[in-house]
Amino acid sequence: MSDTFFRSTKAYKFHQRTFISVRRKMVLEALERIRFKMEVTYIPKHRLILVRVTGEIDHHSAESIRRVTEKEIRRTSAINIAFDFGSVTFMDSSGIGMIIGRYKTASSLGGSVIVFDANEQVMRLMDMSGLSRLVIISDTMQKGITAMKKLRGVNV
Amino acid sequence: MKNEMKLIIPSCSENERFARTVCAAFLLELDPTLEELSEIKTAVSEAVTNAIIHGYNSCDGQVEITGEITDRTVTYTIKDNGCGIEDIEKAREPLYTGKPDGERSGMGFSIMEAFMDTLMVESTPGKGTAITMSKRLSDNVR
Ligand SMILES: Nc1ncnc2c1ncn2[C@@H]1O[C@H](COP(=O)(O)OP(=O)(O)OP(=O)(O)O)[C@@H](O)[C@H]1O
Ligand SMILES: [Mg+2]
Repeated sequence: MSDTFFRSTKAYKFHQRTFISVRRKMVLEALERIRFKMEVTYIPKHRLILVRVTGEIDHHSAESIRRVTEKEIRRTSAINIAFDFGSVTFMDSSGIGMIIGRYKTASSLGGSVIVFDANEQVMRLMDMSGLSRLVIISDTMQKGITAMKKLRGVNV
Repeated sequence: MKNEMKLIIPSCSENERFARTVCAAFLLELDPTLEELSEIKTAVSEAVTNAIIHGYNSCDGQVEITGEITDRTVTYTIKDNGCGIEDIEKAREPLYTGKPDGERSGMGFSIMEAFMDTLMVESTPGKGTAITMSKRLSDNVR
């Protein structure tokens, strides 16, 4: 079958379309891993909002986390904030500033901030800035909550 | 190995990710370790963010980024024509920030210093700031 013949057929067009859509899907998937996203869940039992962050935390995205988290704190009766950093692929000093800001909010309400499941790069940055003196850093949310309860006597 | 690049971007915070991603990609041909890559990406992000928020604080300016590779040493300069720094020594102190009510930790320069081998700050108040930083990558044994 000659190439020109193939090009003129519907089959080729179909083949081309699927090929492009597969490639586009791969590109979108790669972008998805660094694109910034966040998801907030209120957990009344612990008076806590769980903030699951995906992608890179910089000056630009830290500003969204600040805005959304503050809004949720005001909307619910949460006093604690837990950040799930399991899908955070990068963070710079803007993330440190954002966490300190949330620490100020939570402690003014008598609550705590937990950061859990952060990768090595993020851990190193948090260590450098001595963040562990202000917030609870743990590998799972459960351990973070246990540490939080201990901090304030069992009833949270 | 020798290579160069230059990137000019408007001073919008949306461009921070683009800038550090380009700077990291520039380095890939040297086959850096994951640690080196993330250190450089973070240091570049600090300098570009400083130019955008402290230098200009609006999208009206331009940030110029150049990269240079000589053997296994990579050098970046991040330049803005913004407000400049009055007291460079004080600005470089850990935890110092000129924006105490802006959720800034004052860690930017300390991070650049820790993650790069050299860091040079040139600044003229009212004219702008240029940050030059370099790092020699480890020789990869394969
Ligand atoms: N390009 C620049 N133009 C003008 N001023 C700058 C520039 N870069 C840094 N500065 C000044 O130096 C100070 C210290 O910078 P540094 O990056 O260490 O901390 P920060 O940006 O305030 O906080 P962080 O980086 O932790 O978010 C800044 O607060 C600002 O006053
Ligand atoms: Mg900074």
